[in-house]
Amino acid sequence: MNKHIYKLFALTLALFLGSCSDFGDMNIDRNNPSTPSTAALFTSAIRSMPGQVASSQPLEYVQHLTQKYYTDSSRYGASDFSYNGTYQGPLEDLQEIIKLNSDAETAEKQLINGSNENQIAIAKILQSWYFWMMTDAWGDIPYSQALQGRANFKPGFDDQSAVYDGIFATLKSAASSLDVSGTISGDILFEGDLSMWKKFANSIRMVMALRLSNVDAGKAKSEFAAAMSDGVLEEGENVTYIHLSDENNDNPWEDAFETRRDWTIAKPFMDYMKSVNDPRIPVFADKAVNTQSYEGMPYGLEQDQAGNITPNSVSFLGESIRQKTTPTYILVRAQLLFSMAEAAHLGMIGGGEAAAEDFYKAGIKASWEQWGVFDQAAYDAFIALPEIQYSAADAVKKIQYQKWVALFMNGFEAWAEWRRTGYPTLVPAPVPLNQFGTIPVRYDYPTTERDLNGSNYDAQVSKMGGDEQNVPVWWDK
Amino acid sequence: MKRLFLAFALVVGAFGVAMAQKSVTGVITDQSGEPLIGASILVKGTTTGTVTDIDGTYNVTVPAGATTLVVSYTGFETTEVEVGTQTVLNLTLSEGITLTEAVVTSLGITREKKSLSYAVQEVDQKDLNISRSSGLINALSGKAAGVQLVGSPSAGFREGSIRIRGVNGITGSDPLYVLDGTPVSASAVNLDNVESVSVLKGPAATALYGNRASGGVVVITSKKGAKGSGLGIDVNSSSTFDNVNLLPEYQNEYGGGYDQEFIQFSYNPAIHPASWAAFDGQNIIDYSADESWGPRLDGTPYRPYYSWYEGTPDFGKEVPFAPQPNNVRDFFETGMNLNNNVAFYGGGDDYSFRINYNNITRELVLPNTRQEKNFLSVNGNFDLSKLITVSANVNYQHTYQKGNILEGYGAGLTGSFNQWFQRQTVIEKLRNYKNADGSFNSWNISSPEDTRPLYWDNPYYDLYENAPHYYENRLYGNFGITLNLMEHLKLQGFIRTDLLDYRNDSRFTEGGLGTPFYATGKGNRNEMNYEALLSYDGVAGKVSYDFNLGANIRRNNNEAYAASTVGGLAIPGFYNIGNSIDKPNVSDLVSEKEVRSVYGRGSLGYDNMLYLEFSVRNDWSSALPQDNNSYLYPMIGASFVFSELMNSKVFSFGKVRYSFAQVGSDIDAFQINTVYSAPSNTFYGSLPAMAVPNTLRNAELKPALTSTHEAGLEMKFLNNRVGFDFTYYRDDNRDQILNLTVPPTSGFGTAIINAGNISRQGVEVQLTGTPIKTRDFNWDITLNWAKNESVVEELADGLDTRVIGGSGFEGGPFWRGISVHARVGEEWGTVVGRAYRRDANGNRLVGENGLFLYDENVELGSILPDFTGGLINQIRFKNFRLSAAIDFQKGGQYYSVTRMFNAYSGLAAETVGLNDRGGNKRDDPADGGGVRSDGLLANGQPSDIYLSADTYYKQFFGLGEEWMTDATYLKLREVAIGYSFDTQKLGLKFIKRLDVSVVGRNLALMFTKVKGFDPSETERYWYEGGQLPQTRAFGFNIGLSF
Repeated sequence: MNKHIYKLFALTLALFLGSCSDFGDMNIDRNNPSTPSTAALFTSAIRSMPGQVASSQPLEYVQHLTQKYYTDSSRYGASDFSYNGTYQGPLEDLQEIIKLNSDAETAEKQLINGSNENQIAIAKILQSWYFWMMTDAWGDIPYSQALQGRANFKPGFDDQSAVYDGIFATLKSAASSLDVSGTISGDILFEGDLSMWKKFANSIRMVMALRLSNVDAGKAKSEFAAAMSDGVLEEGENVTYIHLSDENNDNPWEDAFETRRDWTIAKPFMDYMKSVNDPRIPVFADKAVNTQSYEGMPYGLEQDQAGNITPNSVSFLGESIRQKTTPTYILVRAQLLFSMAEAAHLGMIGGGEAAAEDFYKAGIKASWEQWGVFDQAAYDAFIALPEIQYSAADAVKKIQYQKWVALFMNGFEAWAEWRRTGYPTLVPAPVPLNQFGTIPVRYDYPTTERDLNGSNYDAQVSKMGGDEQNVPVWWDK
Repeated sequence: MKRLFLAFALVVGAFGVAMAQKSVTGVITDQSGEPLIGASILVKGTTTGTVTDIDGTYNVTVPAGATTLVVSYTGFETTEVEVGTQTVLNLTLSEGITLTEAVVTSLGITREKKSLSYAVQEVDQKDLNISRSSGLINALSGKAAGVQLVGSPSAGFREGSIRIRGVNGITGSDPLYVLDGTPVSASAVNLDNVESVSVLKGPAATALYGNRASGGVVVITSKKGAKGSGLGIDVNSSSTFDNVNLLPEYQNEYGGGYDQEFIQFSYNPAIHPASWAAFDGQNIIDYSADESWGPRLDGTPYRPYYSWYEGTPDFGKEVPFAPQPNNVRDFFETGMNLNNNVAFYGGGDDYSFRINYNNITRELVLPNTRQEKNFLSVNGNFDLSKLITVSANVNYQHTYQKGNILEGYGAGLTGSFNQWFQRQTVIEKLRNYKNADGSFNSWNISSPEDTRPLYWDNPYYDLYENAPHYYENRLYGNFGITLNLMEHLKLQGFIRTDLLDYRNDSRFTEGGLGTPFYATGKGNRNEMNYEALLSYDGVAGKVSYDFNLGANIRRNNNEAYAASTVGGLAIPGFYNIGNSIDKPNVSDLVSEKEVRSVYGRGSLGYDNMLYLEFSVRNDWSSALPQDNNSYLYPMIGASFVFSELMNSKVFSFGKVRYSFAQVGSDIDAFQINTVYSAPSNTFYGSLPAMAVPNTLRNAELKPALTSTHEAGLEMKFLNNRVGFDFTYYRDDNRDQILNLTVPPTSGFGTAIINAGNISRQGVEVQLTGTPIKTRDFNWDITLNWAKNESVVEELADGLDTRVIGGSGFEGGPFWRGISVHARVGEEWGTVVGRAYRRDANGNRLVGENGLFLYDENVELGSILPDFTGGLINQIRFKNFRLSAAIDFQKGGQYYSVTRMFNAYSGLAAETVGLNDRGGNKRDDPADGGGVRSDGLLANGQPSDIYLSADTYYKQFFGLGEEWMTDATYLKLREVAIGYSFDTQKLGLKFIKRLDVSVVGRNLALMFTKVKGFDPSETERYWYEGGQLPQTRAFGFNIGLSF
């Protein structure tokens, strides 16, 4: 009897042990797809673009907007700046697209979404745009060593000049490798129109080139001319992100006003537009309830002073700017035209002041068209105003003021242009909360660099002389 | 097959065998002749037994072949007596050493405590449930050395969790709770049905539980019926009532606004009704302000927010602008906790059972909150024959919960009262949150013209209109069969189950700040364990031995389905996912995991003096890569009862012990293969969006291995009146599976890795004493004390820091970079953040604008305590009993969001009063008011710059150093005073026991650095993110036995 039980037990045990480590497919994650779709990765990477542009902080720095109640951020108070979401999000998604289209093992499977070369090129163009946005805000950033996953958990910082060189080179080679007769799937920006991607790439190069005007005039000139001859956005063309009406795809400014009323038009911006009776005012601003007129909110007041101004006496961000389907402008032709005007004025391209004036006027027109307020008679009167009329003597100032208006709601670009040229003339918040008392000219690094990338971070900080918001980036001279 | 059938037939045949047996009766007394009530009588070698009744008499059925009765009683020497042919056996027990103190260890195996080679601490039922706590986790606080309660605010439903041997941020996890052998969650334990709790602390004790026991094991043994004991009924009823106890200290001198001047209402015929003309010139305040830097609360007539709602009695009326010192306290109600329990138990010759029903109804101090729990347990076993015993333990639990707890930063309640508020707000007015037209009012409106809530809803609206619900059904327990194959050899089989399903919902009704919203979730979490255990024991001369061989298959299946509306509700007031305006967000998750294990253990004893123990276990986990999913880990230990060699009156017991153990562990299911994330809310129109997840997975993952050395010394003196138990341990946690934070510029935020080595060492001390021990007066003291430190010896290649918590890493707002680090070569738990800039002498430095200068990235101290512990007193005088439990912590810091915002928004008492030159802080600095930053200017002189009070206090926003708060505390957590009636004298003979007691919880925070906060209740072990206030409870309890 006992012998039998022992045997039975031994047998059970042996059967049990024999198959112990085989669990079949039990541990395959069934909650997430295991098979990638580059089209869906593209869609995801493009979906992050408006968030990048919609950031409110630079809109405060350039005094497009100011907070009505909680004025700390308008006074440059404590804030966390982070590029982490961009690296982990769209940049990594695009890196995956490049990998999937490059590895012999996976490349063929991706052909249903477009040729491997085209997918790689577009991924690189979009990556370059993100890197460009980040380097202009932070200066030196992880670039050549970034996005390597397990191969490098300590990406070092590249000098901004190297990042610029890298982006120029990448955009050139990517744009030239595009076969515009093809298409790609998942492209919610240009609906698969590869020629638009090419123009987008060249347009980025153009704006970047002008940004070097103070730090490397030679390179600025050659890169600008090259970008222009390669073909940028043409008349009536803007890089526009279309928002859908559903909550997950609507304009972030609509969300910002859903339950709150934080954002008013800053008085310096409003007063400048009012001084020239700018027809874009009714688009950008709501009327103050009490007076039924457009009234800017003094910029960056202390909270008690801000509180003494009743909300009914100032203009909040215009209703048409914060509809669910209000588009986000990623890069607009008006900006390119103003850039060309400045380039012509500076002799970076031919045509001299006459060309500069033409580009300048075309820029104003393009912006009015973009915001839907173009009217020939009003336009003719506007450009004849002495404050607006082009003059070679203060060409940069005039161009920049109009660029400032044209770049409304694109804080990063407006902030970069202000840093580069010093226009418009801005007075910092009266009682700033930061330690140096001036408008920030840089974002400080996210705390993850300090915490997780200490040796690179420390080296970077000592090289820069401090990870502070008053340390200018390389091109800001 | 034929042989198998034969075996089966034999087993079944055994049913029929009638056993010869007889009855033995008698009286058990102490040396003075007093009957001992409840002494236990066990027939040696069987599971048959009984207890003595009120007269000390017993009646036990002794099966044929049994020769000896074992009689035991707490505090008396256990005595064995031969039955022989007698049928009446009277016995006198002598007081003395209880060497056979038994504890429940791994796999439910009861062992003599003195034979153990590792630390196990038993928590008595009477120590556990002093103040009728609502749950096991709270009840365990301070009751065992090295057991720390974390994250359990008394005002909420949250039970928190316990950490054994330190809050280990690296691998720290909840302990495994095992109820009668079945792994369950702590909330499944009904305290009224608990017989005893053993805390198995280190890997040596828990090795046999395998990889889930890295946080220790809490072994819970439920009450059971006894064989041959007749019917018994226990009834217990307790009611406790709690009220908000600790609140931050508020100021009551200034009301809402940013400016001390009242604003005058200015009538504007263009926008105001003509009837409002009369209001012209009336004082109003800045209603949009959610801070209290406004006018002085001096009784000046003004128009409160509620006077702007037309059609209400208050419309148009001015009231004095007056302080409301108790407004926050008035908001909270009296909470209650009603706990009723009834148990029926008993047993015959070959069976025993216990049926227990428990109902717990709780209401919090927050309005419109309720929790109802119903437990039903049936526990029984039945000897089918001498060969076979079957047992079943079936528990059903139903939980219903309602309530909007609203704590944390920005949440409606604490967000208002402790972060953003107008101090003069009148709670009674707030209570009428609904206007006549059905819309909702709030203290925070835009202006007289726009009386919709601006940034804050009325908290009553949130509590009454938006209350979420939760429903849970849980069925757990086991079915077991024991085959007594031969003398000393038995085989047990168990099927253990814990099946849980839940449903929840939450909503925003229309009219508040949130977009109308409805969310619901459903799911189930099921665990099955199939277990076989072969046991063999015996004695050969002076050597005793026992061996076990076991196998287990554990299977976990979870499903979770959750959906929420997007973009609002199409039909107002219809709360259904189908009513979503946009495509609803849906998540549909499953997980499946299986761990197969075989294990063996054994122990040898020599002459009641020397013991040797070993175990070995191998696990195969489905969650690990197939090539790496098998791992083996051993344990070995020895103990030496050196007191056996001595014979001293003073020195009654002494033992040294040592053990070495390893425990392997794995990872959750579905973490290995590379995937992409594609949640339902990332569609763009009909196009799906897919992303690379932020966590980098690892197909090369290995199992982790923890190695522990543990040594202990246990001594008792003076007839066991005084004793101590000292334990030292050191763990090396190698290849820990961590979701390591990596620089996101790598493309990933975290990576799953096997990390190098994290060591942990500590000491635990338990002191016990009985200062008084007489027939009428008994006083027992237990002191628990523990110290633990964890050092990061090594992380993964090239990485030197792991961020445990902080901005961007762990929920909760930290503003500008407070984070907690685990750094190579250091103890984990360093807080890094913004600190005052100081000179070489430690003086704070002040800039020319009068604000403190600061530096980023400074170490602000450690969150870890120096030591923790508890003190329990049990005093019995005649029929009275006093129980008191104190717990304490020395050192460690936590980050206080509440304090920061109370200062920032001008709510805190510190923002008013006199400055250091005798002026009013709130006055203009030019008039002698303001506050000076107490530090040195660049010229080395103390700053003489006075800042306006709001500028001064707002400078501390994000200045981490200012808000790191010492967590040292000493707290009288529980007290109970009870009386046991002599029911015989009362002539209530049918009642065996009648006990009444009054109880109190959170009675006194005897020491804390910052008043108004209870460091023992912080929601996380290193911060409170704006949590609810501490509450204090009083109540009474009545217990009856029939």
